[in-house]
Amino acid sequence: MPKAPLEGIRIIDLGRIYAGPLATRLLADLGAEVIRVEPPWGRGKLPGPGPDYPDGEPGERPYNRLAFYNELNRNKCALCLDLAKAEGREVFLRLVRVSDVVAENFSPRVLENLGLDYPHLQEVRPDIILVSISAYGRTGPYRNYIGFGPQVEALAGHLKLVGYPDELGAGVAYADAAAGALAAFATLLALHYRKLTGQGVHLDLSMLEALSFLLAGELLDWTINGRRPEPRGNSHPHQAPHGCYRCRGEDRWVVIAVSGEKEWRALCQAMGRPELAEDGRFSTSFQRKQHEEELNQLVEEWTREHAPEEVMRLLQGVGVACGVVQNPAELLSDPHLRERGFLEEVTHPEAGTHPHPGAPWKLGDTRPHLRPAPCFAEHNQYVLRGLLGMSPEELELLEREGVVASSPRD
Amino acid sequence: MKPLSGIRVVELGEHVSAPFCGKLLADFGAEVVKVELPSRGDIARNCGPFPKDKPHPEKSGLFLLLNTNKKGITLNWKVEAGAEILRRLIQLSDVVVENLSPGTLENWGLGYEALKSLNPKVILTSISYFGGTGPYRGFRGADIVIQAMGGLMWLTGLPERPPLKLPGPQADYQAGLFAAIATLAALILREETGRGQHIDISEMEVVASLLEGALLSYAYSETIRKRRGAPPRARCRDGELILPPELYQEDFGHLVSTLSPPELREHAAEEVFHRAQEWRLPVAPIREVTDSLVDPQLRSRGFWQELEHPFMGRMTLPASPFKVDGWAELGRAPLLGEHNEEIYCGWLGYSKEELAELKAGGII
Repeated sequence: MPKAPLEGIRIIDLGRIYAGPLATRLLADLGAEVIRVEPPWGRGKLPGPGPDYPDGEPGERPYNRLAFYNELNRNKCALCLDLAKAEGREVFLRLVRVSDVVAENFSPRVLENLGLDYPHLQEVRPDIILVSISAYGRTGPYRNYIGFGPQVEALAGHLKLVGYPDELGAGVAYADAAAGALAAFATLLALHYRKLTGQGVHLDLSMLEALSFLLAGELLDWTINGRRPEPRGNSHPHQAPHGCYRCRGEDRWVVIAVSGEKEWRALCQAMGRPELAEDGRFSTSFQRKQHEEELNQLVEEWTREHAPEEVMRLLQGVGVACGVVQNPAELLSDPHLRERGFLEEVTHPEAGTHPHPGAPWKLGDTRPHLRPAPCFAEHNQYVLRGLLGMSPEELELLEREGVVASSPRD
Repeated sequence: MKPLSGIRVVELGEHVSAPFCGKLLADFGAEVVKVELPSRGDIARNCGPFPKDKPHPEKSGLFLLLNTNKKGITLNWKVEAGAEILRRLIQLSDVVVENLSPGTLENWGLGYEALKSLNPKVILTSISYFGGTGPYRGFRGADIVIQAMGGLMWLTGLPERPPLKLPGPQADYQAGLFAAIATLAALILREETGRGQHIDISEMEVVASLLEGALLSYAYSETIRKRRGAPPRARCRDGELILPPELYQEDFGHLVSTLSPPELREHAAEEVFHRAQEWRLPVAPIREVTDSLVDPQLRSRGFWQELEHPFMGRMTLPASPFKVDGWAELGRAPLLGEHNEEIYCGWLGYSKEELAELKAGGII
């Protein structure tokens, strides 16, 4: 089988929760060997029984069964190592010596306080790449500030823009997603840079900047015309109808985006209301935008009578952009995603066999190789004995001193 | 030295996704040649916002944001003489980025197999709403359609109200970003194999990859996660604060409880924000997006940059989303056909007379 693009690149993953693990997940999907370094006290906060566990059951080792963790950490290895102990840091630096990248999203100063900041890593591996993700960045007046994704979304103004005209509506952690994907991109830039110059770099990436970068388009009307952006819900600045419409059934919705006159006429025909195409109130996109509320009501009167799949089939058949608001269950049985091989069955020893979303690209003849997320400490032997060449006695000593563990301490 | 120095990219990009991919490569040092049809240019030139709402192809805010650092040429590659010129350009290039409807390049004899025979090392990065294969391949798309079909809208909004899209064409942006990631990976692989690749990016799959683990969660428990609206908040004198996520609140419990409601209402949200950070309490005020232009943190890191443009005067645009000295330097977007002479004469060796003929013939 052809090799994967990043085969031979080794990444140490100190990432926690979302943004950091997402960045390294994308690189693992591209074939990099990603080794998570996790402390003996475990994988952090775990929710109680509920839908994030197989059949809702945390089981004896909930940390191995959490969907959120297992989706973000597939294709990786896991090593348990206590960086708070000097011996742990020594082992860590031995691992850095044989690695290409270290990625982290601790609060600022954590690495410095451990004596593992960039200059110390460079001492053992001069061309090491360090990727640091933080809420606000490592310089500037907020350099010591901390925050999770929702705080960053609020500060960036994202939260205020995602909403109904009268109420906030955000739901998914988007700052983490933006920062994680941009960090993967930045890491690949650093690998190119190293090839050109022989030098590593320390990447300083903030969730605030990642999100602001993707919101810059929403500021243009303000910087150019002094018009303040308002939450637009699902409407478009110039086009109508453009929105999300209720369909037959409980909590079922379809989106329709009419981009021009041809599409508008096709929609009127499909709704069985050809006379609307001749109606002066709706004769141009400017007119339709003026009478948007009325128009949306007319469209919804029609969609309410139909299942969203039916509306999509009908409108796509006549060239109108339209789609079902799919929920996770629908996505997992989506015929398009299935046929493209995006969904792959993966067997996890403690969570069972389930379909996973695959790599978000098809990259020629390199096939993504999905492996389940690692169980806690699963790769202690592989990393410590295999990569670092430790003797069984050395490993045993580390275990006895609590530097390395095979299951999390309470 | 910039990380992508020496990489040559041809962009056949329209609107947002492929131009954003091209911008990410150009901002970090790749030489990106944006190919526009002479008749109308990139449709983003028609999108605005325009100063005083007066449309002008050189004054579209969206175009100027998404095409920084590129070189611009005009070429009607939909006639044979133009297609031939495009082939010569691709022979000299490392990457072609495109977001034409699936099958368009094949129809003009410029599909991956054809490009590979011209230049076996070339990487073709194709972005489309649904992807180059599968039953939805020919579907009409739009950013909102992808945010819906990819599952993001289902999770956004309040349970009793309609699902919501995120502001701006976020599906298009993410697709451009993932296309840039895959392109850089393919360039690394090429160093070993000497061969290019065809990359197929489906915007729907990209969006379905950014759902906070909601897909695997459903697979595990067959429980469909519902929209849950905005995160926990507290009211201050003049606005609201976002509190730590529920799962982490007990870590900050004693501090969260010191933010007692009556007291909070006496203080401004910004004041509480800075004070709470001194106690290592992760809260933040809900700001307007326009506040980010004057945010002291973004300003101190040089996030916003001023740029001169011959038709627009001074513009404010974001520089780089991460800091490495010397990596990124913002250059303005090209005027329509601005670099024709540099590329046609400099790269491809046409004389000025030949260039005039191509222009007269409507090829460029």
